[in-house]
Amino acid sequence: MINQQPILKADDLSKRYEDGVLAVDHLNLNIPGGEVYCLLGANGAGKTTTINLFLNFIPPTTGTCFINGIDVTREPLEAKKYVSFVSENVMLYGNFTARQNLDFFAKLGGKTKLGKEDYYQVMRRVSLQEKAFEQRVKNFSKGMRQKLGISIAVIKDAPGILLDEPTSGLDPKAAEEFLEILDELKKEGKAILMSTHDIFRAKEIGDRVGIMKEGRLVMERTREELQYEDLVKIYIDYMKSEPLKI
Amino acid sequence: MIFKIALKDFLTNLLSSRFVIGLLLCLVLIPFSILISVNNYQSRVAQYRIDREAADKAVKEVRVYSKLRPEVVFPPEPLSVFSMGISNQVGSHVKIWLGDKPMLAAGKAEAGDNPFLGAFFSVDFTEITAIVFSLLALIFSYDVLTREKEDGTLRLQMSNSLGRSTFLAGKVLGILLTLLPVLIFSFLLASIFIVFSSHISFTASEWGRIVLLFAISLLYLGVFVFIGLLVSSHSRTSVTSLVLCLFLWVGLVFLIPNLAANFAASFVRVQSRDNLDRVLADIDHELTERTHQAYKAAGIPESSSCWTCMEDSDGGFETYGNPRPGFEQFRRGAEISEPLRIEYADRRWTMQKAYLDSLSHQANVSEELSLVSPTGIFRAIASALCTTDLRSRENLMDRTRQYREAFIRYLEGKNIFSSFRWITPASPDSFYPSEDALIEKRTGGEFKSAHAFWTWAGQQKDQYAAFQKLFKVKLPGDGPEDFPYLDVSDMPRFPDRPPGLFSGLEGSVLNVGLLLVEVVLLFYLGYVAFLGFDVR
Amino acid sequence: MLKTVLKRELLHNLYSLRFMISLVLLIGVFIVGALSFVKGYALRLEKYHETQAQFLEAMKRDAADNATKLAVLQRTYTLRPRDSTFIDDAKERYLPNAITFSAWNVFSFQNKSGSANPFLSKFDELTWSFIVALIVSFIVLLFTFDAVSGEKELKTLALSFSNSVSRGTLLLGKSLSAVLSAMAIVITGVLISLLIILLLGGGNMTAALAGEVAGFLIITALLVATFAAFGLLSSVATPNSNISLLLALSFWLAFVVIIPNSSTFIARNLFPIQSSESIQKRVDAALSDLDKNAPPGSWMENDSMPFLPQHKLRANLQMKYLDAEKAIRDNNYQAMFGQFARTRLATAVSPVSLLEDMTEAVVGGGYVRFRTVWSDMHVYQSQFLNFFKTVDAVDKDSPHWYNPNEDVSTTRKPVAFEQVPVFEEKLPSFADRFSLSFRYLIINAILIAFIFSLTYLLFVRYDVR
Repeated sequence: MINQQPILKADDLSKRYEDGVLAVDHLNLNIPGGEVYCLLGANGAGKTTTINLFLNFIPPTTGTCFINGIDVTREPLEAKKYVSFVSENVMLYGNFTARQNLDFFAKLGGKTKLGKEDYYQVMRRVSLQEKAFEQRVKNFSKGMRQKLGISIAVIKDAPGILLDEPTSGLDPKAAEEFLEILDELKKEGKAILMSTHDIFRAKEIGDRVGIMKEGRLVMERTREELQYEDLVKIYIDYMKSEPLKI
Repeated sequence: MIFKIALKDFLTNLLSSRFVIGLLLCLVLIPFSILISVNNYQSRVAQYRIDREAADKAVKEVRVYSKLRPEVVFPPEPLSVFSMGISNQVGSHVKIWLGDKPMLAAGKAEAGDNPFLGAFFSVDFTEITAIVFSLLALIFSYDVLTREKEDGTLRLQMSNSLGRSTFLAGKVLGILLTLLPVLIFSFLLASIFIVFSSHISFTASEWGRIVLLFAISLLYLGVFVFIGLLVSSHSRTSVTSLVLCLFLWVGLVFLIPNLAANFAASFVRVQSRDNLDRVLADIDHELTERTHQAYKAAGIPESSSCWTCMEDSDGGFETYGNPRPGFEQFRRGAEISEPLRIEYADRRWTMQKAYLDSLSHQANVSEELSLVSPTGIFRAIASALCTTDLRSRENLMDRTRQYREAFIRYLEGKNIFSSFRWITPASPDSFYPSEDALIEKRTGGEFKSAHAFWTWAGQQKDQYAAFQKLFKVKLPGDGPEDFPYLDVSDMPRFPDRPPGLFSGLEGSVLNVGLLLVEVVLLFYLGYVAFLGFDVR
Repeated sequence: MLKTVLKRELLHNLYSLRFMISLVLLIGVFIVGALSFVKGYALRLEKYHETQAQFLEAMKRDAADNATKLAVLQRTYTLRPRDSTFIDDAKERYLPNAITFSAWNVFSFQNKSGSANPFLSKFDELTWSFIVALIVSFIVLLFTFDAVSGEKELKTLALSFSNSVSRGTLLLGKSLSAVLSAMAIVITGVLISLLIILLLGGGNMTAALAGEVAGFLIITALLVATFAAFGLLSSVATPNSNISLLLALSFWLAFVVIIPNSSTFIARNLFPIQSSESIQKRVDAALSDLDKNAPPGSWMENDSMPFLPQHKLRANLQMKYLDAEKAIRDNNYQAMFGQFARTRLATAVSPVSLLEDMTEAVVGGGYVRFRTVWSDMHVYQSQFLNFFKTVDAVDKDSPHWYNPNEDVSTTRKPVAFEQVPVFEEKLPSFADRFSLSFRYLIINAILIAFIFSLTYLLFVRYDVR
């Protein structure tokens, strides 16, 4: 059941950096609960900048980001209560165990009353091996760290989830497991914005897919529409075409 | 191949922030240390001029040999601007006494005009370079292996046909190439500052020593580069290596030298100065006894009277206006007392030497313990190069004691202790035959004998007025103002012998060897570790 | 929120290599310092008692001989070694610790170290204050230099800020954890050191000592907070933890090595005083002036005739000598005190100098103690003089012509030693100590506030990505 109220909303969002580069160009996004939106694009297309704008790590030049209806620039702390973040290649705290990392970020995310079993449950859910629960993260493989990263997002149980290149560098099995969890979260009614290069996964998991080129959202398709078009072909065509005139 | 790697690293480093900050640190700290050292040196030079003038004046303005005591004034060592060593703590002038061999020089300590300033410490060029260069060496070498491993470039390079030794040699050369300009820059900066400072100039051999100091600094730098290499080869991450290197830095550069000094001060006893003074006082007492006995044996009366006499320490005695018997008594006394005094100086010296040896021993133990750290070795060599170390001071004091021997021989050559010239500039021909004759002359004939005068004076109420009668007629030779100064142009002077390029450095050879051994050993250990290093 | 951040930071510190090494290193150094103190302390105390016994012996001898001799002979009083030197020796090894006086004047002070070695370079003793100034400051910087820039590199900073935690809270958490971790190590070391010292007979635990220990810990906490502030400042001022480290190290070098060691230079060039030669010249000139204008007969002396009229002139002249020289020298001493105090204030920009100044005040040692003893000595001297004048007044054989330097025209009767006032040295009162350290406390607090504000401002703008 798709909830009509958008949880993640970008309203005419633009960002021009001090050196003149226009990283995001009048972006409009509306992601309701229960939807996975995949943002595709080449490196430097503006996907990561979009996510940074949602997290108020940088101020927008024009436009606004809303999380759960809250303006992130005006009330950042309030807004962040309603969103989780999974970043690319997060190292986490190497000297802490998986559970300790989870515990810290859970508490930071407002979930202060959870116990060991709750943490174990979440880590099981993301298919992290049992023996890794009390192991130091510095010995983890990349896949294990990504799973831990996702469990951090899961345990916060926020209505919105932002993911920045979450499957980069994961082996196919791990990527599949990852997508299964995303699917479950979507079914729980969460709004999910995921930036990625991975066309195949995007097609699989995305309810909607948007292609960003040079800061602008040049194309958007729903799952239904994509059944009839070859996303790969569309994507590559767009990438090959002339640079957009600003 | 080695050179390609070295060049790549050199260029990378040149553009890095650590190089810039390192250079900035040197740019600020080196002039700072030189400024302080130069300032200190200049004030010591000013003090030297004052002391030298006073010493020359004192020697010129004597009228009798008994008052002649030359004073040796040491000029401040020019190279002390690079390494102060102990030059600030030991005195700079030594008076030559008959009855005492020179033990320690006197003079204003660094505190100078305010004893409270003794609580303040100071750094010199050597200390700053010891701190900064070791830090820079570690900053560049702590991640020499771990950084490339973390960046993935180590794997990439090793995927070519590149031997480990070649790679390592290239990396090490790269670091040394990076640090060499910093070292050269620092020394040049220091030299420029010094050249443009007033009152300082170096001889050729002193410049030579500065070059040697530069070479030793390079060696010192190398030790720390290889320490960083060794730590990097045993660490998994750059952060671990950094933390270990930093603790090693603080430990080697600051803690160990301090622990060495504390240990020596606490556990190596020195003889008490108060004890020494007491023992010397006893010997003096014995000397007085012996002298009195000798007087008795020679029939010299205990008491004496003089018209004008000025007595000083060390047997300095100047007298005027006495009758012949009076002068004769003093002369005979000196003939006995002065050789005895000189003889007892040797007895005093036995005690003093033991005391000095205990001081040297403690200082040497402190230095030897500090050799555990390369910084301790570096400081030891530096102060030896700049002639501000203990050994140089001991040599100087030896020369001073030899000079005293020369001075005594000079006096003995004139047979001066038996001469009237020892105690008065008046010619013996001008002596009055008796006190009666003198009194008659002085009172203008009013009293014909001493007995007459003193009997009369004893009956006067106003003693003072009675005394004035003796001043009625001023006789020539009654006081010092009637005589010229002594001509001491034939007195031996303390020879100024500036050290040659390598003189006094015998003790440092071992220390240099120690540094070399450390360099080789550390490199070898790092190399062996790298052979087994996981490059993935 | 703060609690969560703080807990993580503390745990992180506890697990880290630097904490382990710091703990081991610090405990080792505290132990060595304690042992070294115990060894030297007994010796110093013994030596002091010996010196003091000789001092009293000499007074006794002179009292039994001749009251004027007792009053006129110059004596040197040596300051007692302090019991809490292990906390801070306040450079007492190198400061004046002996005062020369007679009943008529407090003449001069000097550093009298019977066992000092001019061949040994000046060094710091392994006191708590030295350990904190050199090592703890370094450790604190090591804990904090990559507190922010390091987390950025781990990407956990961005992750943390994707939650509703404010920048101020995170910064405060990091600051507090650094201070708490460092203080935990220091307190461990202090307790071990105290245990060793008390057990091995280096002293007793008194209320005063407990107060000094508490005061020292507070001052250390201030130093730790200051260096934590500088460490965090370095961390937020630069994006890269390598640069943060160099910046933090530069601060450390400036505060620990450069500023304290530039004191002599600052004293001589910014606050110069007259040279001792010129003071001597002035004294010589004043004295020879007096000689010139002295009435004739002023130098006449006859030991067996105290009532010789010229002795009165002689006494007057000697008194004038004393007053003239005293005026010049006392003035010079004030200049010396001023030079020293102003130099210390000038170097108070370094937290290490602040620590040293405050610790010196808290233990009542060093310069603070000397000034107290110096002024107490003046009070004693006038008591001593009054005593002498009283004794002299009852002697009919004395002309009562006060001559401060010689035994010529005052009483020659002996006096019972039990009646003679003897100088009792007192340490500065706690009230005095507190008021002295207060000024430095304020400076330190302002410094901390300033640096933290700067750090906060920079952190608010910090790019966490």
